[in-house]
Amino acid sequence: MQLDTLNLNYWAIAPELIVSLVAVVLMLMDAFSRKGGRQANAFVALIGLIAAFVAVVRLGGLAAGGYFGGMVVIDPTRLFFAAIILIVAILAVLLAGQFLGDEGLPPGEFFSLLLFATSGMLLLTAAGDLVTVFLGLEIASITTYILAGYRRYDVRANESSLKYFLLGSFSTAFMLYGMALTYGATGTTNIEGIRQAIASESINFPALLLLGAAMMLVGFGFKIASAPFHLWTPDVYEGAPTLVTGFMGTGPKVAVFAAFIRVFIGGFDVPIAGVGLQLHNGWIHAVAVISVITMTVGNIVAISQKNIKRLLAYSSIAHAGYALVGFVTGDFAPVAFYLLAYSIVSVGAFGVIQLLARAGDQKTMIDDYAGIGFEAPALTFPLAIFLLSLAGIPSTAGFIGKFYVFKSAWVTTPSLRYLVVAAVINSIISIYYYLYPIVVIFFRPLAPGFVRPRMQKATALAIILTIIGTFYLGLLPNRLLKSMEKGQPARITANQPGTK
Amino acid sequence: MNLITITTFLPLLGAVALVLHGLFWGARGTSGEKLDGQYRLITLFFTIVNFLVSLLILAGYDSSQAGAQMVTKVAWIDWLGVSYHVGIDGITIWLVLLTTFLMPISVLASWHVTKRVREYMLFMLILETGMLGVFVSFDMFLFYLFFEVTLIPMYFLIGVWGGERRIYAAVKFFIYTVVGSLLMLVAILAVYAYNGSTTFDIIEITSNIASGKTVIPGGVRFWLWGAFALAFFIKVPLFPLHTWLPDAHVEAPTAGSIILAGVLLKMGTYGLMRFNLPFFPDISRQAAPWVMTLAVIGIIYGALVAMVQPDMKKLVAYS
Repeated sequence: MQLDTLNLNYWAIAPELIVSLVAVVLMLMDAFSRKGGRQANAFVALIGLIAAFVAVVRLGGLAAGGYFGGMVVIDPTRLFFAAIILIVAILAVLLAGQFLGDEGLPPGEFFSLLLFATSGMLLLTAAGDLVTVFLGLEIASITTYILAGYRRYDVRANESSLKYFLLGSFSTAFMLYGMALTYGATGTTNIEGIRQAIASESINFPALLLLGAAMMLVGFGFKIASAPFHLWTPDVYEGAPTLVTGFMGTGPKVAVFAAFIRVFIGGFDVPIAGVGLQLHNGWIHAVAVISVITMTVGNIVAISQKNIKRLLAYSSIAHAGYALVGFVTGDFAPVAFYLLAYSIVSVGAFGVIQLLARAGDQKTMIDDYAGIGFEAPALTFPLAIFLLSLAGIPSTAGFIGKFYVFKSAWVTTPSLRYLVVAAVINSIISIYYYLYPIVVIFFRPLAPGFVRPRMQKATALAIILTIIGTFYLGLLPNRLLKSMEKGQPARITANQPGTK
Repeated sequence: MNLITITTFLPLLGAVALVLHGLFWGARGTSGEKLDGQYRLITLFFTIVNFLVSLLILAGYDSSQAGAQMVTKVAWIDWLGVSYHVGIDGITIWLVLLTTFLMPISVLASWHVTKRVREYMLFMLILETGMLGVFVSFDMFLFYLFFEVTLIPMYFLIGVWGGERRIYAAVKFFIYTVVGSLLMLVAILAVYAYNGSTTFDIIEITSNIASGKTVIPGGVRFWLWGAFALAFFIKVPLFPLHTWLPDAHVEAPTAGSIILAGVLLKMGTYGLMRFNLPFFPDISRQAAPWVMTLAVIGIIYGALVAMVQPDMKKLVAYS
């Protein structure tokens, strides 16, 4: 392959470069500074993430398509998912000052790990090749394992970290095996190449391709915490420090969804004839079934939870199920919008819970918050808004997210309308457990000994930003929805041969 | 600015005023009791002004013409086909007046509330905006939004300021209504899809269905009618979906009961007239005997139960 056909353009990976460089700088700062200035570190991290955000916006100016020999791609999917990840990372940095200060933990590594994780996630959204998918997945996962155990003297955090690590490695093995089988069947690891191989019906061993896709489905299903691959989620979410839970419940999930879309909708979705059609029907129905199981399991188990972090863990499983409803429409936009709405609200909720739970996450039982509703309104009213948004009450982001996903599924794929009905029934179930914390917080008498937590300015800013985001997406989503519509890859049908 | 928009959002402005007033004067150390008195007066002021504004609407309403009047239609989420479309017609003008008339009375009736006065009044004002929004919306999306928004303040009013079994009553009220309204959401989406996925405008869809431009297949029509009807029957509430009402009535603070009986229940009947009759006229005709039977059962059953109620509020609820 000629060098000039590789399309080496460093601007195409500018966001990833910026974030990883800043992460290295943060490590050096930590090594050479004497007192470990928490604020300076947070400030540098914030600047780096904002610069990366600008770089993502500027990516839109480059030609869409593959770069570095197809290892990374630029397309609307990448732009939107990368933007969501950076928003999550920025909110996490704003909230981190409070977390590290209250717990008295060293700030240096935290921010550099957070940024390394972010760079891995950004790479995942950019992946045009199975090898890049794997690279991004590993960078994002390994740093998140460490973050989960960041409070290293805490047994629960250690358990969480180890569980996450073992089960995560297990799922990565599935993923890698699936990639190897797919390579064996198609002779390429490039996602576009896989699509063309399927479209031209030049598959060596069709069974290998189906098996490879199935194993990758398991791998992705694990990482987005969809049932029946969700069993690690509650323990890991409960044990990890609350801020880290908020981060890993959103960032990695969003990134893996991007890669999931790229591989399955971009690579495997060629319903023309033969193995392509088989594969298409197979994964669409598998994902549909997984989606229904995921939301039902998540919602029903969440009802009996007494711990707010476990409740949100099961609710996040349910939300992965709703996002999968958007996934089967073969379009990235409903999924991206849904995940954006979910991520903002979720990070905000965990930011509030971090304060209510106090240092060391001592108070995470819902009953610990009895009657505090009007004692700390700056915390409880935002929490109520976040919970109502997760429940999908209109005028919040969560409602528009659900509405968009349900509408897309209902209008574009009539054969899968049962998914919408299942999702609506699940939303009804979910109302019950989202109301429960509100009942305890506002309607029960005040538990004695409540002291209002002290909020840092950066934390307040993060909560205000998430509230604004919740209502902006809930009331004025028009601009974002319109910009997402531009340049969507339409699903290839039998009449249109698979060229891009 | 259109008068309808002003009436709808004036209470919300009052809510903002309450919050700002509390932040400003609360920080200056005005005593709690004095502040509470000011909150009551501010709320009363906004509700009375709002009633006067709605009287202006009545003055401007031309009863010799059919159809919607004083219409504002602005693109809102036009990517989905949602518009901010409000107006009044011969039915809603009276419902709007009823709401704005009952609100000052409810505020006066809750003069004795001393627990968290600001939040109480805040929820009352948000509730008024929600109820008015339901009546003036001519867009299904907007209607659904306001329909759900009324739930949250009422939920808090019952849950925080209610009687002994307030938590049970509040949760029951919320879940009953949400079950119905989420099914209605699916029906709204379906009607939207059958109409070509371009608009949520109620007037446009009604005329498309009446002229036969939009045809919904027979079997589907039955289910959609059912989904809309269930949501509204729960609100009405029609026997046997009525069990949330006595609980909510008894446990709610008195002003809450006034609004519940006076306005919130009317939203159900109004919804039936706005959606079920024009969208599915044939199903509505076929279902009429059944609905009437249930209604008669409700009347007799309600009357019999009301006869033996020792509790005044429960008596009103069953009657």
